Amino acid sequence: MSYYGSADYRYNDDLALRMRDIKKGNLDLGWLKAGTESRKFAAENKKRGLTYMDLNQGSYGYDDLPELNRKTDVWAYKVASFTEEAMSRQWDATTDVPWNDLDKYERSDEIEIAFAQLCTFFTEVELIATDLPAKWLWRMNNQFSEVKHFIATQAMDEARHAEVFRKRALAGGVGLMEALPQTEHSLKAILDGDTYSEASAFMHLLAEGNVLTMFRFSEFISPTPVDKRIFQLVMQDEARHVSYGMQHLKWIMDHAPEQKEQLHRALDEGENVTINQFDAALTECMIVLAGKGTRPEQIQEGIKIVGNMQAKQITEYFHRLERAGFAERIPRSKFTPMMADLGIGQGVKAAL
Amino acid sequence: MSYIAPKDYAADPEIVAKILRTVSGQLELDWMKRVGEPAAFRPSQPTRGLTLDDINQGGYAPDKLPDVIRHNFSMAPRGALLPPGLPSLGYRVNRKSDVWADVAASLFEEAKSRRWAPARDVPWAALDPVPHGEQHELALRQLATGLISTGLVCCDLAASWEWRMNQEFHEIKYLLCAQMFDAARIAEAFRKRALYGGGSLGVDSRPLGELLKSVFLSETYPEASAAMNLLVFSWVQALGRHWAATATNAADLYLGTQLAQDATRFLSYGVDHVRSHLHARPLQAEALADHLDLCENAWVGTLGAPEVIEPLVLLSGGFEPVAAFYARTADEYFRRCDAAGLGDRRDASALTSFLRMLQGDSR
Repeated sequence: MSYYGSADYRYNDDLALRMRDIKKGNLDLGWLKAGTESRKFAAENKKRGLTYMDLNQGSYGYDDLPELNRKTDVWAYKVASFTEEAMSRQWDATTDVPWNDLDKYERSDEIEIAFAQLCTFFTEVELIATDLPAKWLWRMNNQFSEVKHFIATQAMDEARHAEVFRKRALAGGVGLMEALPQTEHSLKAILDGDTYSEASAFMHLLAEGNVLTMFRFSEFISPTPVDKRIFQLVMQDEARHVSYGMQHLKWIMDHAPEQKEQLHRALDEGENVTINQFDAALTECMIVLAGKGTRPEQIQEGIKIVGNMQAKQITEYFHRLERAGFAERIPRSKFTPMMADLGIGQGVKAAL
Repeated sequence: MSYIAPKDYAADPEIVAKILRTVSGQLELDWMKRVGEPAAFRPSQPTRGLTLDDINQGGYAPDKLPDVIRHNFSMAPRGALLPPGLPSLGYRVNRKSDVWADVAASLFEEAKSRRWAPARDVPWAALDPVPHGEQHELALRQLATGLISTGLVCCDLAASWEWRMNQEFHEIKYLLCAQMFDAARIAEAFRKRALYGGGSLGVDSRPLGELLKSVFLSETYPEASAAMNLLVFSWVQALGRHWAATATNAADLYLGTQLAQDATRFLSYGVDHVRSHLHARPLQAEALADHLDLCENAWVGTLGAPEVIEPLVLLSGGFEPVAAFYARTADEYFRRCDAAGLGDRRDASALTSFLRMLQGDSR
């Protein structure tokens, strides 16, 4: 036991006297004169209900929070509306996916194996986005309750993502496949971030940004409408998490630009381990799914589609850096020379 | 950055060569042969959907897990093939009997299916105009202020343990995420309730803060679970019921009902978890009992604090109904402790002395 309360209430005369007084009807009522600010709060839009944004007034609001425990370390533009959106868009992997419909669609063994490998990867990575937010949430000051609430919604979202991909892998006939060591090193690097902002830049912006692009791509290459439905559901959550990461980075750029070098160093390493994530099983399962098989012409088609997706991951990441006011990162990015080495740098440049 | 990769992969010719091999169409495809246990699970009841219990079969089920996990400290999902080279992610809670409850998977399913959003599901307009006297309204805002603190700290507590748990216990980790979500929603809903209309927050309660600190700083997860799920949520559930029972309008009725419903999930997990823990490790009963002694003492401080008991007196129409409410709440809590395998705690508890004091019995 690390904390012992200040009084032993078994032997406490104050408590006994107080209870005797209250019993007689002699209430103290000091709490009625709390002296806290009284304001008129109402829903601005009745259809949307009473939101955090409606409560953002006076001493109850978040706009004028001081830099106590550094608001800049956690805050993001629009965080209250991200939280409200998360609360209103909850869904259920058990009932919102038409699992029984899987039997209606024929899939070749190799397609189902490739999809099972993709689902194994997603099951593996999604829980990092519960562990990392949970690791930091309880260390944040309760004055930042809108951020803490957002993080709690993210933990729930990601638990549901891990759940839905596990269920899909175990409903398809193949089961789970092999875990990916390179990916795990990337997850470890995220979890071990020195500060919340470093971890957020790596996880929300870079890693979840990559996963968001993969979700869009996976919807496109999904073997059945059931799988498309899964990706539609997870995508909207993931987009919210990436947006938070981008708006948190933008907040830092606007309020604590001296942190840029620290974030550069974190992303230097984040990009480094991301490059190592080029894992044969992950890339190849997407190629097989995109080409719809393993015949040479199917492989060639798959390579073309997956190559485009990977270039898109980089261009979207660069776009997000720009929108967050961190465009100076792009020339320093480890992805830039790598893309040039692979001959797809021009494509990335053109996309920018 | 704490974790530094062993090399600069951007300058690693092996990686570029590997990518170029793939791009030129030379796929390895070895991974296609590394298939685990086949599984094609379907909903046992189609209308209920595909639940975690439906997929917890064969090698994917938790029942064959050893009590102490020694084979996997990575994020690899339970049942996946584990190749060499998986790193440790540093999980510190690796004993199944420290976290497990069979009911956890069903409770996670329930948490998702009973989702609600305070912004739009609470009929806020029912509070226009304030449907009761000013003191009644101030009393509700004071209790709401305490519930905000309680929600925030319980959210913190679930978070502080979730990330330390081994991934083999993913059902428990999912449930703790749902607890974080539910507890944050308590804080949100009652903050909105306190501030709605011409609202304001009440005073902070030091004794409540001490109770929450005692719970938050529990040394082990079983102690934290017993203190939060069994003790704190016995109080929260009782408050929810009382809030609903004394409601003068649809908004408060809804809030009280939802609070009691959400609190019940914490309680169910707490009872089943402590019971499983003590079944596997009966010698831990004393440690849990010691911890609950201290937390019950802090709970008495909270129950006797003017900013807690007096609003209840105002809402309930006098002292006697509150004394009865406290006695009922304590009785339910003691029954839950008993059901969880902690035995009859009545005789040893500071709560019992307090209840006697309320009844005018000075024994």
